[in-house]
This record gives sequence, structure tokens and C-alpha cells, in this order.
Amino acid sequence: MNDVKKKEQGFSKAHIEFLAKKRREKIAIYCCRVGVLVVVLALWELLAFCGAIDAFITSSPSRIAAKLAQLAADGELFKHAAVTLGETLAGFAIATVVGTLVAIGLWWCEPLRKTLEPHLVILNALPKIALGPIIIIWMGSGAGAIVFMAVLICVIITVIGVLSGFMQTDKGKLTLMDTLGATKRQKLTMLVLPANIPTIVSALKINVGLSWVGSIMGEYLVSRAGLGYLIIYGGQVFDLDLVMTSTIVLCVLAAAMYGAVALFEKAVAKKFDAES
Amino acid sequence: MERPIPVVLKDVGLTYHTSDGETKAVEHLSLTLKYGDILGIVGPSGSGKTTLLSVVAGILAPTEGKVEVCGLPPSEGKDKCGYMLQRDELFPWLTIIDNVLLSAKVKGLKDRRAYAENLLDKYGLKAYADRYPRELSGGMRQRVALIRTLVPSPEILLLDEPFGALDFQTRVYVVDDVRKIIKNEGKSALFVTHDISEAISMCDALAVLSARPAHVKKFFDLSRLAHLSPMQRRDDPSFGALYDEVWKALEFKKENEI
Repeated sequence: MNDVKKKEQGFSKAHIEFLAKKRREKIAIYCCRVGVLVVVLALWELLAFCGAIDAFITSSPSRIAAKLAQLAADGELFKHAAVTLGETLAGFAIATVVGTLVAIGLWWCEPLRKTLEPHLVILNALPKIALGPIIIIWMGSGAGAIVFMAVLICVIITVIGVLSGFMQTDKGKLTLMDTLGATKRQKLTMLVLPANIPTIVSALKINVGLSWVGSIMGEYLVSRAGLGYLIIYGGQVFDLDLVMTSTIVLCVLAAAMYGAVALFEKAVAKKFDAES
Repeated sequence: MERPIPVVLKDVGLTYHTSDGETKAVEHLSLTLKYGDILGIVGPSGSGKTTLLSVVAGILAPTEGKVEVCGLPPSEGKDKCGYMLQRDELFPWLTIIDNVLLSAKVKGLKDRRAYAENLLDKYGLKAYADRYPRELSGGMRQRVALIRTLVPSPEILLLDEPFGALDFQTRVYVVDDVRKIIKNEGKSALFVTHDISEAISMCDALAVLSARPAHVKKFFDLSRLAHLSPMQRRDDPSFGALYDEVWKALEFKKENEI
């Protein structure tokens, strides 16, 4: 707040009013965002309370809160959330690293890239969930299969995204490296990789969402623990409170992970953003 | 020992191959760059001016004729040449000093920092050494690009329309700066441009190329203007006549009538 005050010194009255208006608008939007959430929850609770909707089918905020407290108390919540988070992070990390390495390989070897490009496009179009049965047979029914599913869902799109970033590296800068007599390795480490940090970060952002899809899908197929397992289990025994609670925990975890990546993006964007 | 002649091109020819066919870009081209000179190369667009620089830099091999760079074949004379492009191509994620040192880093030359800092200092960029390119004006950035070219200590500078991306006012000043720097550092230079007044104000000699396949159509010796700076040359009484002569030698064909 002090910073703002300091900045405002020396501005005309009209400009200070303009800034104040901007700030008021920003605050209003924030209030509305929270308001939407509050209204939906209140309506949900109210309708369930007065019997307009069947809380056995729809659950309700208070029942979810109670379930959450119960799960937290007997340690179940932490256990299952940790399992899913672990699988997701593993899938996310493996897919990003492998995808980037494959993209580097394809950039390095042009005939290989030209050969494999159509195959990549078809693999990308394939709904990976269709490979579920194959994955179970190959990887068994443990966490390995779930991580594999997450990797499978993320990795192709990572390769395609990062590779297209590599291919769009500024031609003039590549010419500069040519005139300096740079080797392919020098071009990669001094130009192509640093120039594509933003591309790789945006791949991370996409992978956050996709790796959650992968791990939950995986848990639907095979699992004895995890949030996906809780959701499936809750559905089978008609414990909608459990289903809703697990879904909300999932929401919070996914949002937190996305937030972390977004912060990271902000940190690197300033330095690596193209000409500015 | 006498210094070897920086660049000698003898009867050089070069043919491009693309899927659409083959193009003769250069044919029977002979040219000599004397030590300490800035030799301008003007020609109609697409006449193979850049090709010529690539041949001297050893990036392209000529299909015919002989090329010598400081008495060596271009493949061995690579480190004698420093290339400067139309755009500065500074890397936005590197500071100015790191951008300047990029050329040395790529070529595996160590201990160039002091020399690079000295050059930055000499040409008024010392205060910006730790800044990023986005904080500099276009003219300053182009000066940084020139210093990046100078850091590995090349004998010959190959300038490929190095002012093309600058606005007119900046350009006039930067031409002045660049000529001063090249002369100061005792370099020889090939300077490709399509701007006749820029060529006359910058160079010690001028070769006008024909349309493709390119050869030297006319050669102008500008050594009598050597004592004038580029800015002063623009005001010299002989400037206008010279401009007309070069213009006629170029013989632009009207591509479409209005």
C-alpha cells in the first residue's frame, strides 16, 4: 500500500482518481468471484436442508465438511491424497523430462523428425484411456500402471509442443550462430533451449491438468488407494458425501499445483520472454 | 613480412540447387579487398550479395573459381572473419556483456572479458554491461552487435546490410560510429548494402554487382574521400555526381509501370 502511495505523489488529481477507479474495479471483481462460490454453496446447503433436493444423492456442504473432518481425523484423507498427489507428480515430472528429451532428439536428427512426425500426430489424437487394458496387462495393477497412464497422456503433447517451439527458434539468431561457426550442440545449449524456456513452461502448464486426468483415470482402472479410488468406491457404495469430498480435495490440490507452475512461469517469463 | 591480402576472389561462380531447379547466383566474379579498406558491395536485390559474404565466411563453398581469405582457403580462414547481420540478434536473456562474449564463447576463446569490457568502455556502452538488450536503443544495440563481432579479433568484417533494420536518423549516426570503430580497430571490411548513399558515405571502394548471375559490373575508388567522415561526405559537392554514377551503373529496371 505504501508503494502505491509513493507512486501517486506527483500525479494529477485526475490520474489519482483514475487509479482509484481501477483499484475499485479490481476489488469488485474479487468480491464477485468469492460471492459466486458463497452463493452456490449457500443455495446447495439451503436446498438440501429444506428437502428440495435429496442430500443422499447430491450431498451438501455441511455433510462434506463433516466427511472431511472424519477423513482427516482417521488419517484416511492424508493417505489417499498423498497417494494420488505422488502419482500425479511422478507422471508430470517423467512426462515433462521424457517429452523434452524426445523433442531434443527429434530436433537434433531431422530425418528422424520427418519420419516420426505423422506418427506423433496420430498418437496424439488417440484417446489414451483406450490403452487401459493393455497398460494393466503390461504394468500390473499397482501405482506403476497409474503413473504410466499419466505419462502416456502428457508425453505426446509435450513432445509436440516443445518440438514446435524448437522449430520456431528465431531464424536470424540461428544464422548468427552459423556465422560464428557454432556446433549443433552449441546451438542447442546456447540458443534453442534458453529461447524455449517459455515454451517448456507452457508445456508444464498443460501437463498439470493432463497429469491429474491421467492419474485419476489410472486409479479408476486399477487401484487400492488414492482420490480416484475413493471416488469410484464412494460411487459403488452410494456414499455421495465421500465422492463429493474427494472431488473437492482433488480440486484444491490441482489448483495448488497449477498455481505453483503459474508462479514459476511468472518468474521466468520476465527474463526469457522474446524481444521486449 | 607483408600482410596477406584480406580477401581475394578470382573468377568465382556459385550455383544453388533447390527442388525447383538450379540457380546461377554468381558467375566470373573477381574482387579484391585491400588491407584496411571498407569495400562496399551494392547490387540489385537478389543479386547474390549475401551469397558472396557466405562464400568469404566459408559457410558456402563456391562451385568455381578461387577464394582466399588472408592467403588461406575460406574453410581455414574462418576465424579471420567476423560476420555482422542486418538485425542485432542479441539474445534477450543475456546481459550486454554476455551477449558480447557470445562470439568468443562459441569459438572457444577464453580470457576475452577484459578485451570485451575495454571495447564496451571505448564505445560508450560501459554503463550498460550488466543491462539487458531490451533496455537499449536500436543504435546502441547495433553497436553491441558490432562489438560482439570484434571480440574474437577477426581481421575482416563481413557486414550484411547492418543498418537495414534501423530508422533513418539512427542509421546516419550509426554509420558514422561503425566506420569510426572499424578504422580505429584497423579492420578490413566487406559491406553489403542496397542503399547507395550509405555505401558512398561508408566505403573506401565500391563494387557494383550485376543482376543474377552476379559479377562486378563497375568499380569505384573512393579513396579521395577517405579524410571525410560519412556525415561530412553527404555534404561534399562530389556526392551527388557520385550517387548518379552508381545509380546508373546499377541500372534498375522498372518492374511495373504506374
